[in-house]
Amino acid sequence: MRIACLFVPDFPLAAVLRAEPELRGQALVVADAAGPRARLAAVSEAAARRGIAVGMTVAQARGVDGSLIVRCASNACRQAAQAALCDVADSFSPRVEDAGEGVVYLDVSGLSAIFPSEAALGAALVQRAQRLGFEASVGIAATRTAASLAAREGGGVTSVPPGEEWQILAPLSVDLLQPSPELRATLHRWGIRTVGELARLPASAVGARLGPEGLLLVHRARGEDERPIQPRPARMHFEEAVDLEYCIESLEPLAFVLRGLLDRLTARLAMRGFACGDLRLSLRLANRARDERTVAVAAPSNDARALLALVRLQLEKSPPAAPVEGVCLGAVPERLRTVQLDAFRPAGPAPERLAVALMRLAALCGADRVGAPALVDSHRLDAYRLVPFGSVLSRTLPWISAPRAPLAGDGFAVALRALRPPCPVEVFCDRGALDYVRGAGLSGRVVAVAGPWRIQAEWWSEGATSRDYYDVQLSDGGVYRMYCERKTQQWFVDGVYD
Amino acid sequence: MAKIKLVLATTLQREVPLFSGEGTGSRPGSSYEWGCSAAGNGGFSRRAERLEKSGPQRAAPAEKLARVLNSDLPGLVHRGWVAEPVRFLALPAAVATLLGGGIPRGRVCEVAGPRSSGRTSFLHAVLAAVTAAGEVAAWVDLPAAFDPPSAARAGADLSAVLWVRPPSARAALRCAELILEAGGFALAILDLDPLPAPRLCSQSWPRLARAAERSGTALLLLVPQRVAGSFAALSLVLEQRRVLWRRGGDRGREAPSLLDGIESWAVLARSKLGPAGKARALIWAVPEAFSVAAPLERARAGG
Repeated sequence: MRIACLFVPDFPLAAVLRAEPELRGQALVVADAAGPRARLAAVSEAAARRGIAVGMTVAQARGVDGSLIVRCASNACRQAAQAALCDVADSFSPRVEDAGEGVVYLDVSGLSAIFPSEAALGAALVQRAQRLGFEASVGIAATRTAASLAAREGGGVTSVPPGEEWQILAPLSVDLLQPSPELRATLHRWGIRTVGELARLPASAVGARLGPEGLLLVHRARGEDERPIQPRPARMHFEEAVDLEYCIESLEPLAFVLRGLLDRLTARLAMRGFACGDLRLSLRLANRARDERTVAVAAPSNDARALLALVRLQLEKSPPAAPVEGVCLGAVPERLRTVQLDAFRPAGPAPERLAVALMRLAALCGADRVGAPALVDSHRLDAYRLVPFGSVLSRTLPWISAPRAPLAGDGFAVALRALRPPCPVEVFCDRGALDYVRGAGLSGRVVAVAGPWRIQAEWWSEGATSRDYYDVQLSDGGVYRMYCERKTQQWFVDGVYD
Repeated sequence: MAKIKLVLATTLQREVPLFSGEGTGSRPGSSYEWGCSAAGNGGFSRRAERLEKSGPQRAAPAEKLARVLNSDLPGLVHRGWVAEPVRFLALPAAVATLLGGGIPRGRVCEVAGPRSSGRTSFLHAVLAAVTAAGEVAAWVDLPAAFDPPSAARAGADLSAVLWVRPPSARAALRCAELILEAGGFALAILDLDPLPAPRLCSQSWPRLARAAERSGTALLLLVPQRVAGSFAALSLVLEQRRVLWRRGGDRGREAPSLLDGIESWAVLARSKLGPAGKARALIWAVPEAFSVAAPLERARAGG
């Protein structure tokens, strides 16, 4: 078995840099909590050059350098970063173990058919991690421990060939095995500096003197795993979150935060071969309430700009009730519609471009105003429904679809232009016959009329209708379909034959 | 940037650029394009290639090419654009004949007429033909007047129709542009009845025409009167000739009892692709199942 370890050094710092890439290269420190007494969990290279070290308090660090940028690595930010790292591994192998805090193991057995060498596989892993904003290193070996040591020591890509673990791992520092401070002090007192020196000690003797932790450390030094890789269940959970250091009260800065979240979310989805379906937006408000909402996405897409337009539209319609302290954005992953080109059928719109266009149309007009019309099994003449415009390619081929209903003569079917909502009109009768019709935008003497035909529909429901329909030609040249609502005796025109 | 094209005038309908290229003209910033038709032989193209290889520093390569072609085929060279073959939508023969071939892809066409003139019926017939050919269409419906049962009875495959109901005229024009930019639609119909402000329209036609050309989508405007001017490749104007009623029934022999259809007179008022002025009568009939009255009347007649 070959196992790869994907390792991100200074993970709290990497999580912050992933969320705020503009801070890269600056003197940045990450504290484990808010406030001046919080301890520093990670410091950037620029900050370390100024004499700031892990373990100092924020106040001490500010005392050394007042221009220091301090961030608090929130749980939400770290969890999202760890999930993103797992996504990188998931895009290579189905057997992935999440070891937490910037470490992921993946079973890479069998990938030699895809990658020419383990070095190439490692380079691909590093490259994909870079796409999600991580500077990662990769170690590939026969065991988890050996892979982890190789990743932590080498930087970049280190492949440990089978049978050569000893030569590569023996000179490494014993600190890479992450002993507890007390154990580290003991080992240093014994003069043990390298992994090889520790591995040569008899395990039973070390166990007798240092206890179970010492025994475990010897096994690790020999590159032996205490347990095999434990793949986590496949997760289809895509979520990005950020805890804000200050409350946001207006939409513009919130949209800026959302754009960053959407960028990261769509990058993760794209890496796994998914597109973004409906979005779940959860806002933590200053009044300790949560604002949960779902943003419907007309067609799956990874266009962050178009997705942001939809979220903005939703927020503009109903702004949050209080200033926002934290934002969490989740996405429902959906497969992009695959296109099978056909020798006998013209190619339709490209799925990606169509999805973006549909989303922009939905943002412009409203999601309930964009789609494919569909007929409804109803006696109501104005019944229809709107379905998502996406089933175009799955429909039956044209030459085997239902034949068109034949028309009388050689003419074409007359169309009706619907009036929505129906236009109320006044109707004047002369000796029991319709004589004159007057309404908004139409009026005239009745030239010809046919009807009435009674339509009664849905009598069992609240939307029951009972209408007498007429086809009427007026002196203004129009041919209208009008009806009399029997319950209220009101007249309406609901369509024009055109 | 000045553009000049040289083409042979022998077969205008089938002119295919055999050779084309660009060079720098005598004036800084100007460029020339040239081409010759398939009617030319290999000698012309080889000489033209030599001209191109002679380098952009040489002044006015187009002029030189013109001289070369004139010397070989005197009197058959003229300046103009290389005509690309026009691709039409698949339409019923009656409609295609009236339009001089059909509705061209990548162009803006307009169908104008007053209320009950048959313009919507015409567009439903086009929609049915396009979707029956397995292509995808879009209907941008500013007045929210599209009636799905009516379109289905005209033969349209509704699952291949993207129906958009924009809230305003400005949004309608933007929607049409977005659909054209998406590409892949054979037909986009923009229903603009009632017409938006003329200024808004006049600003939009150039953008829509360019977008239609880029995407290869035929853009059909449904308007009460002609508005697109020179941006329309075809302008079809319909007017109502008469309304057809079935007479007889309970109210007397001459009393109308059932709407049978509308007869309209269609005139091709403008065409960039051929002669304008063609006209013919079109009958838009009420299908058997379309009118709520038809089955009842039939039952009565049978009884």
